[in-house]
Amino acid sequence: MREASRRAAAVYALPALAGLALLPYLNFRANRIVSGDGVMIWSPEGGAIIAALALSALALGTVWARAQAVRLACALGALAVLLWSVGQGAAALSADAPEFARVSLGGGFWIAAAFLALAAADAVARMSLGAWARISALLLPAAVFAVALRAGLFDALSILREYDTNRDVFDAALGGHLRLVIGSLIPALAIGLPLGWACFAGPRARMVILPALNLLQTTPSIAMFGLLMLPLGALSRAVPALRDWGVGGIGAAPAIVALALYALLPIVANTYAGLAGVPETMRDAGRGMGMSRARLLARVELPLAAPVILTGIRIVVVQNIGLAAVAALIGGGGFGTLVFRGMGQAAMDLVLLGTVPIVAMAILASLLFDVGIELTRRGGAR
Amino acid sequence: MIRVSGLRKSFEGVTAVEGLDFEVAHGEVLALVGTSGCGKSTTLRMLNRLIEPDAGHIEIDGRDAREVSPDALRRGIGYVIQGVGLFPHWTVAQNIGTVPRLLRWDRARVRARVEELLELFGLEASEYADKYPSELSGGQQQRVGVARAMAAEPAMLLMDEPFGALDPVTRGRLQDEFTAIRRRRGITAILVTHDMDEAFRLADRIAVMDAGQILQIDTPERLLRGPREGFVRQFVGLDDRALRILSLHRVRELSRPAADAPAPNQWVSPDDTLREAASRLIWEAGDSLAVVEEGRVTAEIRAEDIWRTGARGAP
Amino acid sequence: MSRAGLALAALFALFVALVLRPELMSPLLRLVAEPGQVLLYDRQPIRVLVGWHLALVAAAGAVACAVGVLLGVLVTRPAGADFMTLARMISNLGQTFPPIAVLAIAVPLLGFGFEPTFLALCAYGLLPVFENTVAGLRGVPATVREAARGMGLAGAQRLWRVELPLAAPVILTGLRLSTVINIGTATIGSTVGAVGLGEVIIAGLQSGNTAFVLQGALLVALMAICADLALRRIERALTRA
Repeated sequence: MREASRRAAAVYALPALAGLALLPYLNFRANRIVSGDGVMIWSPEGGAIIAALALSALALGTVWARAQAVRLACALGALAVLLWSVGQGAAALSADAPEFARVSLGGGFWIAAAFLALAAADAVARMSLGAWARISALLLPAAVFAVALRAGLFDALSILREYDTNRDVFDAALGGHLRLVIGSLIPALAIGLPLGWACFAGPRARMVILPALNLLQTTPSIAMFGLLMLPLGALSRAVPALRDWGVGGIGAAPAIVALALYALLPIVANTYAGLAGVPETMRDAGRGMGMSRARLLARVELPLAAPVILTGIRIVVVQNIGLAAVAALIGGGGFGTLVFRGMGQAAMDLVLLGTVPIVAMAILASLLFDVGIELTRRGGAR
Repeated sequence: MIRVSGLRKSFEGVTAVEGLDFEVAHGEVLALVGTSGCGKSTTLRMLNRLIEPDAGHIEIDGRDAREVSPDALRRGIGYVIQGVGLFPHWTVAQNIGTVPRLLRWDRARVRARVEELLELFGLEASEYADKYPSELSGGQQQRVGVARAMAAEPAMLLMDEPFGALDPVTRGRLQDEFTAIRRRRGITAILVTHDMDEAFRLADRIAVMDAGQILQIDTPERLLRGPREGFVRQFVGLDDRALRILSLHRVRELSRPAADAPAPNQWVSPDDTLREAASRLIWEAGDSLAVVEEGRVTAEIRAEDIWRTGARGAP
Repeated sequence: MSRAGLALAALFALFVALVLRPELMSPLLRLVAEPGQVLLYDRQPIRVLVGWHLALVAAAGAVACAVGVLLGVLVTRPAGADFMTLARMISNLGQTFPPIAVLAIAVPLLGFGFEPTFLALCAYGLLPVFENTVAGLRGVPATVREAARGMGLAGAQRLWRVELPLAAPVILTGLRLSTVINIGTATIGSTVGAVGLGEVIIAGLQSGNTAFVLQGALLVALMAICADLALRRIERALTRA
């Protein structure tokens, strides 16, 4: 058992170190478009040899440690050294470089960061903590990172230089992205939950609703955005007053409608599956004790179905955080604006500035939902 | 007091239950027995209107069951179902308190009742009240299921295969507990089972059902001594009916005075069944056994008396 | 033929007709076009775009299928059990990566055009196949596996004769999900210069030509729906067998 756990730890530590050994952890470029020269972690610029040694020691520590808490500490420590050395390295490299020069994160950094984070997550998973302890074990390092970010440790990195010049666009994109995700989730819930219940209540409704939603889900996102432009455009032409509300063929309205439509299938299907999964004996017991139908639904069926329904909502939120990026193509705003603009200018840093927050949002959302699902499962499926 | 007359129900043209008439007196336990699909569960579920009868009349304590709303009716009837049906997301205390809360009892009263019932079923309240059903053994879950049905002091209990999912040892123990609680509290109940032994053990009267009809309704002893031709005879089983009759009687009923003495090697207690006494007599190849209470012989029981009780035509 | 089969045949026929004779769509497109606009996309023949689109999806699907099943089999063997947590975590993480992000990250590695789209499609298509292979293999009842062992089937024989055939419908579901997702992702691939139907839609969006958008969107949607229905039928046939 202990040996197995060690071998598993090596699965994280060795690729992380191999990534750093073989690929540059930073790239130095003359300007933001051209490709540049790789800088290895042991080069004198960054944390130099000392950082490389400390990082290796900590990474190997995750393999030798017996207690999972020590493994977690080692993984987080290695991650911290890595981040500190990229911050230092970028500052050192750009200190005596021309203004247009950029220092960006290299492949070695990404690989090492990903595997170290996985090692930390793996240690947390093996500690079998309660839901809240787990979330704080993951959020605490994130908070430390945020503080370092604000303190300017990474300011010399190109992605933050890019943020500096695009601050307004970034803030607008953040607001826009959240609006798209939340704005589509609320109507999807308002429609999806009752539809899910209808599927559960009547097989005939189910035969119509589920295949129809399947068809919607199958339609690729760009096609959906495109197809929705037409009716909404026509609507805003017919009722000009709606244009003041932002309803039109281009913009956030078709994007929100499309995302809400995509959200329907997982919500409806999981609401139905959750309710249908409540054992018949529960229903019988509740009714036999004189619970009214509404009370049975509210006190017995919904609480028992909650984990499954929440799983559906989790799928929807994660999926729509990603899909909302495509909405930029029809002027819907959000982080997709940065991604597409970056691709248009061949500026990788701008693409990353749009992509990293999307992925971070998706991971954060799925972690939070995991906790919620676990909490609703108490008693029940233990 | 429950009075059922002319009860009928069919599903999509197929008759499930027809022409049912029976009464259950206060404090009596009636068992509905029969093979799967004979209509016994349907009958039970019509009593609390989980199924609405097509025709017929159900009267509970002098009131027509149809005069009350189904929910109000069900809150006044305890319901124990097969597979327990405890709500997994509620603690034991919350489960037992379901109906009292539906009836808007105040919190202190609900808690007091929950503790009283847990005590009655031999579950330490401080230990079990806040556990979830998944943390209990099968037998404990079943106890909580019965306690939950009794929580609001219902006029009667409906029990659908209440001990069906348990192993034989646990089942036997719970059956004894149920009988003991009955003796202390007085329970009116209708019990559905396919297990004839369970019916003999728990019920005052037994209704044998087949194809939606009651073929015979009688006390266990009369059912054994005079089963109707056909299905009843087959279902009750005649091979060991003498032994079954003996198991309905206690040693106390036949004991004769005897001189006080220390307990010998083989003996019976007054609450043992005659069946147990007979078995011991056969094993010992004797013709009488000492009846022992608290380590002293208080009476004796004779083989000839036992044989006479189990014989055809005995009173 | 069943009703579902008929629907599939009709939709497929419609798709083929619209690909070979795009002008059949003009009456519909005229409804949405501004006067004087070009109705039908004419920079590339539609059938060429559809051909590339399908080739991209099929090639990526083949790679995703081969690699996904292989990985799924490896982590469910006793020797690969250590990698199970890692593989699932990466797979879960991958789920949170939007297709557009995969695409965006592939560009600097491979430049614009076919290659980054192909890589993104392979990576993104891998996840459902892998997840479903693991789920399918784990879903083989322990009694069945025990019986196979009891009858003396060796490890590889158990895998080929018992486990994979029983897991096949679930694996195919993964392939279907991956294909449908990839038809959509390939569309987005046109933003990084991949040849495909996305080109029509994006050209329409850029020049404000709603007719192009509708034409492209209809064709892509039809393609995805046909693929979905066809793979569903295969799944059902496998489940029955």
